[in-house]
Amino acid sequence: MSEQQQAPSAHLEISQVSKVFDTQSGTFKALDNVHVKIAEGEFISLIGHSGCGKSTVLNIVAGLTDATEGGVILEGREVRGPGPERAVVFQNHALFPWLTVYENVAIAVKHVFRGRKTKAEMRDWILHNLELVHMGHAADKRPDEISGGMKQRVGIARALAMEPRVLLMDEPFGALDALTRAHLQDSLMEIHQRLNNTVIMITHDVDEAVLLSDRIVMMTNGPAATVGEILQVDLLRPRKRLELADDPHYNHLRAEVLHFLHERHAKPDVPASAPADSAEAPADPDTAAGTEQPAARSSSGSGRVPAGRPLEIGYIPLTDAAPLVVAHELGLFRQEGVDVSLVRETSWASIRDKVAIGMLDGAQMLAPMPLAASVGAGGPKQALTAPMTLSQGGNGLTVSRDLFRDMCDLDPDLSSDRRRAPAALRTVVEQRAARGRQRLTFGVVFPSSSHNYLLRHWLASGGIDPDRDVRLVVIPPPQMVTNLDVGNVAGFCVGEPWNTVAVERGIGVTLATSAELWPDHVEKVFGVGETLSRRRPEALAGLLRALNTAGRWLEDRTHIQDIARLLASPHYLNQSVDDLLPTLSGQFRFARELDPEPVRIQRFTHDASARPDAASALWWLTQMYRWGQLERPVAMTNATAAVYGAEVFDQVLGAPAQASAPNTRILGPEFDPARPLDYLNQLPIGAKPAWLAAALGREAA
Amino acid sequence: MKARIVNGLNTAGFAWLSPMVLLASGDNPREQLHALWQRIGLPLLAIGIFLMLWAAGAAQVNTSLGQLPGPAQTWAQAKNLHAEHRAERERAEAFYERQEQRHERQLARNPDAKLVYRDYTGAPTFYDQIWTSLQTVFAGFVLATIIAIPIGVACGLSETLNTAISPLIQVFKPVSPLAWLPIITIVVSAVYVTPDPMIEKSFINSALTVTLCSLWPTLINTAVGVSRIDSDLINVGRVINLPLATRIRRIALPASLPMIFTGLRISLGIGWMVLIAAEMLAQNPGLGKFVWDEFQNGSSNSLGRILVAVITIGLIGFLLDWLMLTLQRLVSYETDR
Repeated sequence: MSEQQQAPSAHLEISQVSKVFDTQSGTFKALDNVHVKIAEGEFISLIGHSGCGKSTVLNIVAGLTDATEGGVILEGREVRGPGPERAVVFQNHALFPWLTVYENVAIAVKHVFRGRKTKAEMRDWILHNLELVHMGHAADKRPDEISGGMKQRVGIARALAMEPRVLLMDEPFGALDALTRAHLQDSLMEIHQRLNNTVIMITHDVDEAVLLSDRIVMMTNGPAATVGEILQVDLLRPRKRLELADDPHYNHLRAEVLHFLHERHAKPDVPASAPADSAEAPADPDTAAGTEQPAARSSSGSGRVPAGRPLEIGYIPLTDAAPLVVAHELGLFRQEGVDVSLVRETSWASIRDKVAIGMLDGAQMLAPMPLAASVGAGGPKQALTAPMTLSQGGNGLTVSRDLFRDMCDLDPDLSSDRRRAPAALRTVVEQRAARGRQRLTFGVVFPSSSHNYLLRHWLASGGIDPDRDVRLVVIPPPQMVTNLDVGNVAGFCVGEPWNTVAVERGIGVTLATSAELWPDHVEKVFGVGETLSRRRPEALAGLLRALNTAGRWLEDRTHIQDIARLLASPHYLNQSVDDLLPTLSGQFRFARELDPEPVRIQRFTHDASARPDAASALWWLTQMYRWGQLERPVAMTNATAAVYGAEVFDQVLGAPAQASAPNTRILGPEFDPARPLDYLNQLPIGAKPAWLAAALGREAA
Repeated sequence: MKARIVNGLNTAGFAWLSPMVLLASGDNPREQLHALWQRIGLPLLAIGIFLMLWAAGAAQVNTSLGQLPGPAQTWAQAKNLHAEHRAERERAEAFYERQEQRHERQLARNPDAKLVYRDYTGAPTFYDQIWTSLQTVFAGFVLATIIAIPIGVACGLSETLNTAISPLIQVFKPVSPLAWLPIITIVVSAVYVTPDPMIEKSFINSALTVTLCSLWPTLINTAVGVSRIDSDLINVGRVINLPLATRIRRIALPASLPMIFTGLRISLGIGWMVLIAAEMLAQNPGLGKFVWDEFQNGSSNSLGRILVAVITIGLIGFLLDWLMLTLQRLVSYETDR
């Protein structure tokens, strides 16, 4: 992975390019000696922090900007000015609003193929390219009549229709929501595989870069930005998003990119590792200019003045992100003297890694996630703690309407009694196996999540082995509904509002809520890394106080409309208020044709209910053993106490007069936190660890 | 169907009619009645109050030409003008009928007779004046548009040209039409010398004055519109390697059309105001001349006739603006305008 790594045969060469801009305050060197050789058909991602000159590189290749030094050589000839052989897909689609979709592509085709194609051939070629991006049906629509994702598809079709030697894409999916982005990434992979174009794409999204690219070119921060490292992405094609989520090599690659970006992030209190290029500026100019902090920055600073840079707190667009959103929007963080910026993340893996390496100071986390990270279940050991509970319940188990119909055919009573669902599902599974059909696939949001453990527990309660009889895959929450809709999964366990969205769109039927399997189970916790808990205890205390106030506000039933409105906004969930209200108001519909039922499937926690519950967290550990995520024995009580210890919470918000009993009302055999291994031994399905019998024997003796 | 009618009305600027359509189709009567009151009732009330104030105020003012006419007297003069027009037309018809009969007699006597056709040359009526004014303003406006849009596009595309021309525009823009008029009159007399002019000199004078005054808003708006086009759209044109002419025709013009039309609307408004003044001053035929003639005439009816002209000028100005707005809605891609 050296700067000089070269592709086998250079189809396109960005040769020692430097760019100096003349500004009013003198000259500014944006790029310095950028050198990349690209082979024909290669897919290259350019990644780097904002303002590092990625777009300038792309514009120089496109010929829209001239390089000050060096140049671009395409197939042995130096590039002069823009041209259709280097087609550009712009970030904001850049469609002509007064032309129809067809005409937008036609304007390019007519000029590029003038004299080379007949009118009829051009027409076929335009329609062919629109079909390629699945936009043939909208040929006569105008851009303002189609969605943002569709516009970007047309932008891609227009670029492809020029039959470019190189396709240049400037953050093509940056402005789109997660679902649309995933669709378009899949389309782009499909097109790239078919046409084998050379592609250079700018992106900010690490997952996108790893998923799509052959090589990732990582750029250092400006001024005088240059190529820092080039990462070879040697994953086999065709790549499947669903399967890669569990692929250790994929995760290794994305960690490499994250590490590179993090080192260059140069936060004031996280010293950046010395960059290889000594000419590089020591601090990220973005960060330096963006923070409005007092000059004095002492690490031992006390008092309630915001100290240091703003804390970056991550969340996933879910209804239970509400405590963070509300604390931010109502100014509760600021009242407590902490300066917070909320960062929307696309996947739980991203949240875990970023908190662990300090790119995020804290985040909304799945309750079992910090525990899994700290005992090293299903991944490397990472020190995370969860000093506070944010919410209880709120997940649902939803299956496609097709699967529900199959289940009802076998068990007509199912529609009146949803508790019969596990048994009915088992019959369906057995029938499919007998007919030699594929195993059903279910989506969960993360391996160490209440979703995964409760779905498995529920399946097992019906006699279904989640590892043998069905297949489980990891899908980020915002992408669940689409995957159900297109049939990638037959069902899923996901947090709200995604069950409501599936039900209201008529895509799925909810069979159970997680609150029915384990009433008031801890769902989301506030997770932090060592940077915050060790170095900034006063900031952590402020965060906990603000989140506690937010929890109280959230549980005030008069605020439901306000909560829904805050969450629905494009900054946060970007959903309609109507999709959020059922869960918030406790009027949940299990299927579109049914009336809403008064069930509180989700609660926000504060004071006593927000106090971390180490005892009930033991159940997560039993499940990690049960499903083979954790093989070697750990000191269970110590492990949970280390992650869910209440010391910080009690210090900040006061210890309760008497400790409340642990919440153990889980479906199935009774769970006694004092005897977790006995409980594990009683559970029917699952791969029990080899040492279990010996350990139980020792205990008995 | 209902939605299409309402939409059509809104596009044509008759948004105030849409509640009636909705009311007729039984769409929430209370709400529609309220909308009807808002859009039609209130303006009618204001007009009623204005007419009452006018009637009361006019009665108080005595001039050398008698009492200032109120709404009733003005209306009477409007009917008068219409009657004069009818009478003049009848005279004209009678004239042509006589000519026809004469020709028939001539032909009866001698089939090879050479026929002489003469035009009727009566005094122009009020309607004739209106028609002349409209022709003049459109001629001037069209000429201004033909000059302003290309220069505006060029200024918008070229920063250099814009910087060069900008001071000239800034200086000429605020000059009053009345200052231009003498110069134009003299220049036209000097340059436009033909024994048998196809177009009246006076018409050219008025039209050119309109042109000179209505040039600027279109020019400035076009330049701003073109220079503000999203640079990505321009870059798309560059990537496709569109020739300059095509880039202007397919990208620059459509993209700046909303701004251009805003300029055109302002231009036509200014042109109409300028025209009346120019006609009065230069004694060119048209509504301005009508007003001036009535003023010079000084009969007891004159004030009423001038008031009819004033209201007519206002109504036509309003109609012209409405026409441009509707045109803009039809051709512009920005549907919310």
